[in-house]
Amino acid sequence: MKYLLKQAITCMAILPVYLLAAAGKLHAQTKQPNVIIFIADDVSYNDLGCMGHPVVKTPAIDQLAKNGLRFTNAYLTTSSCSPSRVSILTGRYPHNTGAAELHSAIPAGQIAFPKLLKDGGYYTAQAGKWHLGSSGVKPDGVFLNAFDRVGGSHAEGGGPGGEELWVDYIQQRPKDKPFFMWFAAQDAHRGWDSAHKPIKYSERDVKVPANLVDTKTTRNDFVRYYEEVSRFDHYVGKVVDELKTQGVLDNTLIIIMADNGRPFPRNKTRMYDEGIKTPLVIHWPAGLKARNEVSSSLVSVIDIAPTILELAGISGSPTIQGKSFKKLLAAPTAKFRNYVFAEHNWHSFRAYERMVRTDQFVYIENGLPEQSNVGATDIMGGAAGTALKNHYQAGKATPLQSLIFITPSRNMNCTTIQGIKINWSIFMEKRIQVAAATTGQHIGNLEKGNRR
Amino acid sequence: MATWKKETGDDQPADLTPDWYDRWTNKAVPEKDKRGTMPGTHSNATSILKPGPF
Repeated sequence: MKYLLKQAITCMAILPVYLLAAAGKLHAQTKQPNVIIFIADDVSYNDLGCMGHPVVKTPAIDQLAKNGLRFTNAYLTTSSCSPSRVSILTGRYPHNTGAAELHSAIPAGQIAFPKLLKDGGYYTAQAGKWHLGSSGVKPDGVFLNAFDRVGGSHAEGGGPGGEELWVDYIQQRPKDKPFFMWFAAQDAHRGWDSAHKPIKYSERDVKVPANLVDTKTTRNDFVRYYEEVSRFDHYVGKVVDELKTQGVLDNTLIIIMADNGRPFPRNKTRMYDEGIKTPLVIHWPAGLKARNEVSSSLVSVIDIAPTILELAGISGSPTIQGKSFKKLLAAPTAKFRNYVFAEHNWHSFRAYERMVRTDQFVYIENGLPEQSNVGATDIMGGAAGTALKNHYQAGKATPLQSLIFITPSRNMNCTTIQGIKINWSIFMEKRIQVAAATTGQHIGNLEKGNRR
Repeated sequence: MATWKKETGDDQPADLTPDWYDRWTNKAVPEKDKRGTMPGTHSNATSILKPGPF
């Protein structure tokens, strides 16, 4: 009897604890996160303060990184605006979307993952640059069905970078649903404008890459670029402030990324890191244990769609080719991908390049070596591109500065992460599955130094 | 890369979209606005679900 009484008392004591725990678990299971993707336009992975840039100031994003997780090896599938965005939203490689070239229409049947969120009960909205179809600015095409609200572009009074309406979107959303926002800035795409630059820079501050010519016009070109990167950051900060005001910041998964690299020669459209690598910062206090942590695991942007869908508890689509990297949110140093792949297709100029990268090697094939590889028209028409062209024409360019003009261009290009030596014959035999590389860093078309 | 191309249906069509501009002057050329065949078209890559090597 005494035993039964003791058991009953124990059960009564434990029951409330159990119920509370169960309720907490249930809450955790049913509380779907809000999601915001801030996608910058033409910003290289290393042009944010938290990604190591020595000059560009991005205090709002830096703060998110400080309280979250940043990835140092996140790769785009192409360094070209609209195909890159379509790839991110479908979780598919560009040639598998049917919209592999700039400004090409998206075939029916391609599914943007926000549509799945919308069907699963999310409120979904897009604000800023569209570039999801054949139009650069005006929203059109099959992906209109993925969003409850679309607009806020530069052309519609969304501000010089298309970001002026972002806070309004957060304020005007229905409050009884989780939300997904695709906030697509037009910063830092050319042409530059002088409107509302929160942070100013001096030409003296500029770090001119070795592949460009150090002139006053090149430096001024970078000043304008830096200012637009900081303007992107400024508007991210305004949205974060609004989320705090509404008390929803903790359970909002914020992703900071870009569609392709900076709009300078040998960056945008190209397969080198400053063209094909994206900054990737994730902030989500309610679901992310990481604080100021770094993941160097290889991830592809086609993995973003399945990750978000899994976190939202919504079934993915069989059309998605990426895989969820949810496990990296809990264990940032875990092994994830062995390979990332990327493409360079038509963007102003005919192109066919392919890249595969491991954590040690990058291999690029150029299917059109008979032509030069200058990149897009906006790049070569810009001040830095013009200065470089004049320098080359005057016969003053270094080999590195000359690379984009030379024909035939390289048909194959294999590089290592700086400092790692490879044995070329083993590499060629096993392609990128190099396991025992030891000697001979620069053989054949191996590019000296690094893969930038 | 070969495995990835094969599994995902990538290819290099002979009639890729041509240059729309002169590569040196940036001026529009007569082929501007002409589209060619996109990679993956011949293999109907839009319907392929295989992701290639991971």
